[in-house]
Amino acid sequence: MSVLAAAADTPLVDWTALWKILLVALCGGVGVTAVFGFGVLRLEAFDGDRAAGRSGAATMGSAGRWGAVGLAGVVVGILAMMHKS
Amino acid sequence: MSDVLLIVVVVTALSFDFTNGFHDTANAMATSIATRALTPRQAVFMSAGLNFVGAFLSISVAAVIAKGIVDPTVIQGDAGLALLFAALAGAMLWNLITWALSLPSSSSHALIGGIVGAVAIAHGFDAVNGHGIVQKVLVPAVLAPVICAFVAMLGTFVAYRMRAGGPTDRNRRSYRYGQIASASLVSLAHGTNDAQKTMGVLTLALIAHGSISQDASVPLWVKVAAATAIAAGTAIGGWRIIATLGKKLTEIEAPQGFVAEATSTSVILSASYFGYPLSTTHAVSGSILGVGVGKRLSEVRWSLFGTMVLGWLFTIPAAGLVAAVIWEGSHAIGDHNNVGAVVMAILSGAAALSLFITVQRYAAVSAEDTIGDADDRAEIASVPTREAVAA
Repeated sequence: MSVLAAAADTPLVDWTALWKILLVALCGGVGVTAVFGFGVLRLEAFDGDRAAGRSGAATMGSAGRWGAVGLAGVVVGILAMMHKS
Repeated sequence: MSDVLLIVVVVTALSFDFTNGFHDTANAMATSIATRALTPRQAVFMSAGLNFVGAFLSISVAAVIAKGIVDPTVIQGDAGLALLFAALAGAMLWNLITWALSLPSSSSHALIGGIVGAVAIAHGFDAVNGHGIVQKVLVPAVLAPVICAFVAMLGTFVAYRMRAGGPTDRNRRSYRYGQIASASLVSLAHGTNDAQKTMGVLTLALIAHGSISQDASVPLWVKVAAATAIAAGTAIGGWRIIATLGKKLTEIEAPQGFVAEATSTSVILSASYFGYPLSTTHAVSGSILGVGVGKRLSEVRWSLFGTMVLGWLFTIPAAGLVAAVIWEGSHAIGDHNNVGAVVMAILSGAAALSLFITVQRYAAVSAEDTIGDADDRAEIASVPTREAVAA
């Protein structure tokens, strides 16, 4: 079978891959934005703590945890780049 | 096999790669520049460096762009090299035309159009796989902007819901820092996709010439040359297209820029991972449209988006037509011998250079024209007026 004939046998839209892409896109576009947003909210709370004369260590720790989750997203992205099909 | 033809193909491929770089700088950096997360110069140099690194990042074999689209047996010997030259020259010229029109269009589609046009004129449409074009090019071209726009719209809604109390200085600064990270990922992804595309074409040329065997890996000099060309092009800064994506399509604030880039990166990387080829340009354009739609009262210039879509529709046939003309010219001058290819290469180079100089002289867009002011206006709006403070 020629290369062109073999290509013609495959479906026009690979729905399985498409759903996976949409899922990952939602995790990246919406999920990472939400994680980042929570981190920023905690940083704003930290600013509030400092303005009120509190140390804000716990709030900063919480912001750091959200930041770590966001950073994990970046690492996953780089790993995906290194193992693309 | 002709060494001169091979040199012509290599030079044209690297020139195309260079135009690919400055054409697509906007994909990663337009929103970061528009929101002042980065200055224009910082943005393009950072993007250039990351594109260079990205070109080496992937461990997969450089993708052969023509796979499944045209009959691979036609790209062999001197005739195959002549086809590749015409395809690359057609794609490069179309890239420059869309750059002159300030339109973000896909360099991958331009290259595919060039290959299809050159193969069709040389061997007829029987050597072109229409099913492959629909499956690998047209369907993803429609899906990429739709998926990106939908996800970016949701992401923008979430981002603005989370700062319902209004933008604070901390909020604005944080999103600008976040944008630097997300834009960096888009640049890296662009390097892995687009520099590898040129590596693939150069490898194909070396195989057609007989310099390397069919199963040889990509030579190191090809990797370095392709990475350097795309990075150099990126460093030039395609300000015209950056202004279109960052300022003209919609006004962008830092959270929108962050969402647009996070969405584009996710879609581009997941599509690459699952073997679904998407155009970076289409993905980023869709994301920017989505963040415009997702923010209440944000204005999207639909007429400009319509023009962009028109440019996307024309890319494959137009690049194909230019490639076909170049192939025919090369055929007429010297039946694809060295003289024909060299003359057409000189003519193509002269046409590209004249277009570039004319646009720069009469309708130049400077780096400063790419900086938006939506964030500044939001900042001013968030500062209480003297009357409000007094009350």
